Amino acid sequence: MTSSTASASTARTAAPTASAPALLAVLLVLQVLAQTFAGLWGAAAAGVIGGLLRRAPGAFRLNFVAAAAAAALLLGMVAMRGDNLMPFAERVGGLFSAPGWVVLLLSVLLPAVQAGALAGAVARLFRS
Amino acid sequence: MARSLASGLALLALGLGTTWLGVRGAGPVPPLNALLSPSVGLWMNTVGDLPAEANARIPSLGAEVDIRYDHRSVPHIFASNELDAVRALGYVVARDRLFQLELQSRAGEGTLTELVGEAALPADQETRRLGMPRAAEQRMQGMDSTGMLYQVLKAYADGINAYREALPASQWPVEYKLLRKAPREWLPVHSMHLLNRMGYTLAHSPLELDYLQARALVGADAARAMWDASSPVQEPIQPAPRREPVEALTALPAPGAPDTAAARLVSSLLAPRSGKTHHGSLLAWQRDHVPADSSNEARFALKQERAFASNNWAVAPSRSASGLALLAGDPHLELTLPSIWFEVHLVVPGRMDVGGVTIPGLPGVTIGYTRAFAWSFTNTGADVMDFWRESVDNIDRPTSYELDGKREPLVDTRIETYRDAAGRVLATDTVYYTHRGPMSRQGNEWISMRWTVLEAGNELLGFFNGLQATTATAFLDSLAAYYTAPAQNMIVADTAGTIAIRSTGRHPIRAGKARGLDLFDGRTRATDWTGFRAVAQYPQSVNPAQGYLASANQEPIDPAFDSLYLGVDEHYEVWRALQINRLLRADSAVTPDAMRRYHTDPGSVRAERFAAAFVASATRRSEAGDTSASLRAARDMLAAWDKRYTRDNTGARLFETAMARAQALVWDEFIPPGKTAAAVRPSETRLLQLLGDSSSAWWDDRRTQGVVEDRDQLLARALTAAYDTLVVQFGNPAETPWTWGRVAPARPRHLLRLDAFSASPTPIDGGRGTLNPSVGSAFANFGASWRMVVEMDKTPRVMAVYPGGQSGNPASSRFLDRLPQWASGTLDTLLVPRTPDELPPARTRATLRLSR
Repeated sequence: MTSSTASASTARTAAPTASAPALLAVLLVLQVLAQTFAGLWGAAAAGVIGGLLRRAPGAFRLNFVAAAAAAALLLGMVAMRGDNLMPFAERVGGLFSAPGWVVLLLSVLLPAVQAGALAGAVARLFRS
Repeated sequence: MARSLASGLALLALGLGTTWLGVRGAGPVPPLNALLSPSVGLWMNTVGDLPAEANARIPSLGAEVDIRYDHRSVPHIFASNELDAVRALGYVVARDRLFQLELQSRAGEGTLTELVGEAALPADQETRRLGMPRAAEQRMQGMDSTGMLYQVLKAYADGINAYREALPASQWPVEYKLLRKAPREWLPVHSMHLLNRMGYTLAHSPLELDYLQARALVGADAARAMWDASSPVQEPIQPAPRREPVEALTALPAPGAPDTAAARLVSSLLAPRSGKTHHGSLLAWQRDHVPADSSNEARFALKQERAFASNNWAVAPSRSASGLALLAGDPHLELTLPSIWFEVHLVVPGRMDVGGVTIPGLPGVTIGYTRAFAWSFTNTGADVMDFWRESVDNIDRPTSYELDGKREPLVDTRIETYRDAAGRVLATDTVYYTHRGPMSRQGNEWISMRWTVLEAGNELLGFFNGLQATTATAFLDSLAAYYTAPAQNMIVADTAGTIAIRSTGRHPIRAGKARGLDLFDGRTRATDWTGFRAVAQYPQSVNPAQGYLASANQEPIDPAFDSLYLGVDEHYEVWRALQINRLLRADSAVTPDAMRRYHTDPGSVRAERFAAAFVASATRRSEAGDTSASLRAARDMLAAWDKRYTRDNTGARLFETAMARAQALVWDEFIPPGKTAAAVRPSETRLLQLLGDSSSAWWDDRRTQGVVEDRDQLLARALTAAYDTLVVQFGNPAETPWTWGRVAPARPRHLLRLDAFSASPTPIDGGRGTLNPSVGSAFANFGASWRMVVEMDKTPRVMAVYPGGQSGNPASSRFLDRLPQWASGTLDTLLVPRTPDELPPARTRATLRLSR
């Protein structure tokens, strides 16, 4: 590690942020609410807020995980309330020549990429 | 710092890009995030499917309506007045079929492009040039808003819109999410558009251009004998006083010299117009499913496969095992997902107790039963559209047309604008109208059209009032009083044991006893229709001596008994009629289960007649020295085939291919000079007529030099070619048998033709010319869209099924749940409770209470 990167790293870790597990919990709740009421716009908006809350390294990671977990949670709730998720996933997968599990995985990953990227961007730009 | 800024901007681009693409999509990439969002995307369509208990509001409702869905997801609607029952009907149909409602009405309105984009432009252009939306709008404008018909249409719209308005976007049907559209408001006129669409499906069969082309190629005598003549095999709907069908397989006139006048007119009609697309010509047999670049062979095949046909039959108490009247019906339409039908049961104490199937968009039960009678339809197929050559003042922009020596201004000129889903103008069109109907440019000619479908609109009242009837004949009379088009063979059986049938719908009478296949001279009113057949002149029968009635789209009445023109052989099909009459004649104690079996009976008179001819010709050719191994193998295969289209038979595929080959070879006289494919093709019954004349000039394939073929040579050649083709296509039959169920399965397709939402290929018993004529094709699937058997006891015993499911939602377990039963040829027993309490809790899947 060079001295300049070491000092930058020290400065980042010194930023006033909540502990990662606590923040993750907050971000998870935020993502669940945002995705429930505003769909993918909600995931994006929550990602921006998440980036502001965590203007430090790990913003991408935390928000990615929170959005993915929220999407998975919501998907799980849909699966519990509905009665035909997997057969339908196979049909939807057929629209894109993909197996059903791939589209289910995409359902989790897409809001995660959205939220993670926006959070990471906001965190870095505001730090900059 | 700079690096952090750069990575921040890169992440920002990724986040915003993902969001943008996720919401809007780009080119072929759909808005994936929106579609796959767990909270608003497609997955939400797996939730909330027919909850066990639900309440909803329809503001215009008069009193509370109790709806019980039985174990088959059939809503039983218990209302206190008829209009409330109709409102509830609109609501339950929308609940399961909201997208289908819009798609089908737009098809009749000519606005599909606004929903699905430019791909639908040819279909929309045809619809509008036929004058369908104008007719529907005029019908609504002329409708008394205090009258019963308007009240019914409005009540139905209220029910649909109540559901639509309360539906959150997250629950919009899957198709709307894929198309990125919102459900539109349902208006009463949309039902009229749908009615027109049914008319288009069932009563649009112009043959004038075919006949003219035939005359141009083989002369008037031969063309007339093949086109403008009745079927050579008569097994009519109105029973003739005899015990067997009649065959008049007289020799056909040899192909003659071209009719030069007809050739000139064909040339004028088909003259290309530079820079003009020519979708939707009035004269053309143009269906939206055939790609424009399809070969003529593909078009002929589709015409054969387009089994917009049906069966229905009724058995009198004297011939039923139980001593009760029996009725069966199976309308053959395109097999779609969701099905064209939705099963319902409506009860208004003292006023209405009717069950059966409704067409989403039309407020009523189309085929079904009451406590007193049951009914079903087949398509009459009569010739109800004619064409006139008009003489206009300006060939590019007409403003008037010649009539009785004077110039008449056009009755109407409409600018039709076609828009895409975003509202952008895709194309515009000017549609002109004479007093006869729409007028369209065809090559260098202007052709106007009169069509009974454009003059229909009161049919629903016939149904509505008919529900008060207590006898079969009273129901038929109610329908006849209001019914214009599309003409249907309406069969009824009642609890008193009466069976009756009537080919109901307006049948035009042409001036001077003219028939309907010529283009008329538009310059005089003397060529106009002079009226319509009186109801007493409709083909019909009540309690015939033979003890049963049957219709299967055959010629309704033997021309030997009624010379009034209804149509020609090409409008009809006789094979299924021969088969069902054969079955019914042979059974003097018919049971409901036998009726069920008849629906999927794999026997085929067509195969028996033609396969025998192929085998005989092949045998004679072998005896004459033809040593072709393919011919021998094909003959052996066809001879071993039992001529039954069971799903596991291995001969039907060869037979069908040989039939197609034979027709392509025989009718070479209809190949225009300079072309490689026939422009037109006579019906199969003409080929049957030809079989008896082994050396007819028609058998000679003029494309072969130095040889004059006879029947045996040509049929053997067709059989050999068919065998060789199938070996290439499906492999050596000794190793991989050409099992019918594998090579010709049924496959109900999603309305948007999305393969992922379509059914898997499903083996079935049945084929072309059998009572179950479902034939898989490259373009579409047609077949029995609903099968029903009713035994008319005090409480009717009803069994039925359709391919698909009650739900139009591909995410629902009710989307396709009936297909296995349909494919197996079995039927469900329908429940007919008089009150909500009569539906056992164990058979109740869900309840819905509607209030104001």
